[in-house]
Amino acid sequence: MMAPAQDRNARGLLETVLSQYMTGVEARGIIHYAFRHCEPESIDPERDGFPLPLINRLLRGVELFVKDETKRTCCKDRLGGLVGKTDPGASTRAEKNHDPPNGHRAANGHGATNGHGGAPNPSESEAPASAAVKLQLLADNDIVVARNQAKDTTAAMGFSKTEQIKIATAVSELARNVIRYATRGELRLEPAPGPATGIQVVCADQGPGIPHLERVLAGAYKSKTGLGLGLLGCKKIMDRFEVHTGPGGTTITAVKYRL
Amino acid sequence: MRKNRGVPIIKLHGNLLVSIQLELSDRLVAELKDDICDEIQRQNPHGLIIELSGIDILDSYIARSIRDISQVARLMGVRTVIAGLDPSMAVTLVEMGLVFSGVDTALNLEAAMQTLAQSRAEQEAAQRAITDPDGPGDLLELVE
Repeated sequence: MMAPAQDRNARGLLETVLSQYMTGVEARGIIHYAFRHCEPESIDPERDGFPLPLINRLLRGVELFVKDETKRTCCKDRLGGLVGKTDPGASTRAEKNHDPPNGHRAANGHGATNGHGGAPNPSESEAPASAAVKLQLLADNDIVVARNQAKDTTAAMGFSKTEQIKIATAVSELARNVIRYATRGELRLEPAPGPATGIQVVCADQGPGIPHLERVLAGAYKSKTGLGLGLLGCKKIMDRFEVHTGPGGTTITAVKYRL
Repeated sequence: MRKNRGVPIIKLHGNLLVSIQLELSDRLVAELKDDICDEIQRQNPHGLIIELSGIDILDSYIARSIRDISQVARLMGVRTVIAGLDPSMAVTLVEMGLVFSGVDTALNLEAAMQTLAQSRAEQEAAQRAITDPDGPGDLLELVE
């Protein structure tokens, strides 16, 4: 976890920037939310810049709170400029289970599309194009965050606009089910396995499980609460759709390949 | 225009216009339902237009909520038209099997207003025929 002084520094800097475009309260709110979800290990803004996932999270808030078009673009540019400017390997310095890399990623300056090797470390991305993104699903707003993140990630992967919308909708459904029925959970967006370009969505929770799963997926179950509809819809949209569910929790893995 | 909590509801040519221009969280959707019902009661409109061009992702919950809103509106005597659905979203909804059954749709806001204007004219003509059966028949023909 971050040293208090560093944390204060980082937050203070962000607040200074953001409060030029929104109120101080709004800025602090966004920052608090972003830090809570990104769990950055250590941030030294002067040396490293900010991790991309954190900035992305802040950008969501900017979308919500900055109504003026020009101001919004300006603010986003400022935030974009705060992203870690050093090589992509720099953000991996903040990883939890990694030793500082010997610049192995930095060498080619590429995010990895051919698998992440040992520890995927989803919460820090090495390059936007093939980011593995991990999101906590804790509250209603996280559904919105999740689907926007899905849209961004698939856009970066080169999916067409319609495909982006489809995948984002599926993600929205899955996230909503977690919040609605399991209260909390986790969503991962990562490159799909295999040589073809695609996205893999993994949604896990420790909720009560999905009853009548076979009937739901066969379209035969009419739930009062609407659980079945979204799930079935996801299955129709995605290329692969696996559900493991039980009283201890549910994990849904879905994959869609780019055309 | 009454200042509402999230989404503004505007009275326009005897209809209510709800143009959704921000991220629809579940809470906002619930508030919107209530606000629309209140406004219908307050303003007594002929129609309700739900304009969706500001939304980019529509999942089953939001789709269902919009359908619920239009059903409630109908119970209150108000006809709902949904306008401005993004083509990608339309494709997605169809593929997911989520269809807006029983809800009128229009390509855009203008078309929606025309549909409602027409239905309003028909309704008024019909009412006139009831209250004054010997009245100006020409007006009826004009509408048709």
